Amino acid sequence: MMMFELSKTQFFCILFFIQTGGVFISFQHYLIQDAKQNSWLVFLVIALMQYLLFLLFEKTYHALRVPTFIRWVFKIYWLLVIISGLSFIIYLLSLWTLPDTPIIVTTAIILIVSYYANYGKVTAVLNIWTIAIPVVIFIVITWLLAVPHLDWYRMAPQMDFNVVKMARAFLVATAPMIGLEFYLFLRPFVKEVRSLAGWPLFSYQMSWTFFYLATILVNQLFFGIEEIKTIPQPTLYMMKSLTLSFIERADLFYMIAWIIWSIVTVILYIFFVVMTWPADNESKRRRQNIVIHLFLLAVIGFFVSKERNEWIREIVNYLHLAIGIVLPIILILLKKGLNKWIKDSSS
Amino acid sequence: MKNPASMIDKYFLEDLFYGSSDLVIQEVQWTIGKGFVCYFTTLVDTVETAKQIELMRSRSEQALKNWGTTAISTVQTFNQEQLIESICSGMTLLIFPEMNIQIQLSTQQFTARSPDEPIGETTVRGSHEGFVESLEQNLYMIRKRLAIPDLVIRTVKMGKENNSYATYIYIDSLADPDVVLEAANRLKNIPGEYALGSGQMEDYLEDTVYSPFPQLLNTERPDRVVENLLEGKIAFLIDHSPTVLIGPVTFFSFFQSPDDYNARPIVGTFYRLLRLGGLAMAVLLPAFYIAVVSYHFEILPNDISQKVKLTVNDLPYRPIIEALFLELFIELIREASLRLPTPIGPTIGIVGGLVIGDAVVNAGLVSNIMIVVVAITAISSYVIPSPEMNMSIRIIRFPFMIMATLFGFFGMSIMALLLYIHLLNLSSLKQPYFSPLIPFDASRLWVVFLRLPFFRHHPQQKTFSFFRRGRK
Repeated sequence: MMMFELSKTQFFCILFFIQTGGVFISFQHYLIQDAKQNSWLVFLVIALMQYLLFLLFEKTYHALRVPTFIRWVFKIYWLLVIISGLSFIIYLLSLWTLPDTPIIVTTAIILIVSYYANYGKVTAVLNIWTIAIPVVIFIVITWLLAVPHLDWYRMAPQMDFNVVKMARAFLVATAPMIGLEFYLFLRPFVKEVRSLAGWPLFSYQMSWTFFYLATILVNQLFFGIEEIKTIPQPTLYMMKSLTLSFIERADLFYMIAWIIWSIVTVILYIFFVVMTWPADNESKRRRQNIVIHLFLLAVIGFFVSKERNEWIREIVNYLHLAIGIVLPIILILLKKGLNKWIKDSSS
Repeated sequence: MKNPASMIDKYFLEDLFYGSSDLVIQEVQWTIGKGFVCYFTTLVDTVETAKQIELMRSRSEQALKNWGTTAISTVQTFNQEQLIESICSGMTLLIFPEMNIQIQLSTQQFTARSPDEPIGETTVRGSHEGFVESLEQNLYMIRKRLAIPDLVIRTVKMGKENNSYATYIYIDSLADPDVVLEAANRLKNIPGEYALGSGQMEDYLEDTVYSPFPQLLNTERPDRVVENLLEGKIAFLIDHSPTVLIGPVTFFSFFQSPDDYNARPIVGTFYRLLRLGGLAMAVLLPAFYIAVVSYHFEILPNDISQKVKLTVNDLPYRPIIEALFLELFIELIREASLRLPTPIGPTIGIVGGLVIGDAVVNAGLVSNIMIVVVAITAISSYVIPSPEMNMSIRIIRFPFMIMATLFGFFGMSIMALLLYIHLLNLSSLKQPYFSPLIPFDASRLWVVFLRLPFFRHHPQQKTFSFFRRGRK
């Protein structure tokens, strides 16, 4: 595996962009539809769950050993995440800004950027997220523009709810957790040897929670439950309906900002797929880089439609529970159990 | 092939220098035997040479020990290669063939212009001194500002057959030893055959020559060199050139001016931010206009949109042609005003900018708005203090314009990502060029945007561990 070092800040920033780039404008529609006014409470429960998982990961990351077969499972899962994210970007692009551009052209352009980033220095990929810092600021400002139009009474929780729908809401609310397994994979590369379980992890978790909570609340309070059912990308529609004196279509800027953010996430995912690929020299790694990009170019087009995209996103959502959460826990427990057994039998 | 010293005579020396008309060869008879004085009159202070030779003659007649060694002379065994190199460098040689020795006299004559302020780097407040075409005088201007013992000056011979030297300077306690070693190796490996200019030397010293971005800072200001030396950087000087190269530098160094540090922190910060804003405008504004007019008309408020539509609809061709036409026109005016003598240069600007600009709008070849866009872009690019970075920025806006024509805002964002990745991959003397964004250091990020009070120096970040351990 490739060797590099990360600072604490780099580690958490990479994790943040991996966890946010894929879904932050897409999952609110489904969550609010199922959980209704309780959506933000459901999300808070999920956020707490993620925090506990991170605490567990921080305590046990030393114990994680990933066999070659499991490594392949992760790689295939990450490729599916990339396919679902990238096809969603291209679907939205063709819907909102580039209706006449062939899908293969849009896909190729994004993949060229990703290939160029992954062809260069490791340091360049690991710091690519810095371009998204102004984008985060811009997106937060656009949400603030919507604040005067929010109806705060829509925040009040509902006591009567459908259990099946609520269970589904919990499943949808785990979508922002996609990518949390990278904590285990990246943590050994962090220079900081002391535990990150205290303030660093807490502040990361709070940033992540507030970010997603804001996306849910802004949509829920702006549109209302019934209205949101008819709007597939509520954040973009909210931006479109804002009337600003200096600009007519804030949604276009918002979308471009989100695309930059998402491309950064795709670049990071592809980097980690290549990174965990066994390669003994640089030329092999470059060949693998080409193969992955060509593979993505070939398959993305198939998923650029509403139905197929929703289908693959649903698959990823289930897989993420199994591979992103359960599998690492099993691997850690197995290793712990094995160690204990060796200790007992030797004594 | 070396000739035996005993075979040296006037004709032999004349042949060595192809009978050049400024070559002087005088035969002298001293108590120790026959000798030859040899030098180029164009390079030597002849009065001082005559004085020194007379002094040496009297010392030899008195049979003093080490009579040939003085503060400005050295005695060497005869060596033909050394003889040629010394005479070409402006020294005087006193050759005694029978004794197989040569005495080298450093009586070069230097003529240099006064150290006036460089035209391209003027400041409002602070020093108005600039480098000249003499290495010694330039070194003096640096030394007098840095009266410290660990200011190291090293000279490297460039190439094997070449007779040109490069000098590099650093402060031993501040510079990264790895970078100093890298710089010395690069200078030694320059395979030039003739004296190089600073631009050619830059090609050898840069990490990525084909990048549009300069990776070494050019300056003609001693105060700027001193400021950079105090940040742990290395300065490269070459004889006969007033331009000094500084490395390793970061992208953001090119947006800092000595005026920032001479002004109050708030004022300095304001102008630094203005320059960074100028960078964004210079790169993005024409592309943004093209994207809006070609793809995203709907983002404009209705009243502005109507006006833009009215002006654009009358034009016979697409906005990209209009933009390229005007941008290239501005470049032509700039190039013409640079090549013309000073009294005529500004006239070209006025004729080009006002007269022709007004005429093309009246003829319906370009829109008024495009004139405004291109003018703002040009002004924005000129606020960047470094001429090299200024030129690079002017060039990279063209691919942005093309991408905006093809894909609108999406094309611009793709181009921005490509540019950003390119910058992340660049290095200057193997040090990260896009520091403090790579390696990311939030605490140093402020230094890029703010002119903080000068309570302490901020040395250049030392070699980044990724570059050593990871993939290069």
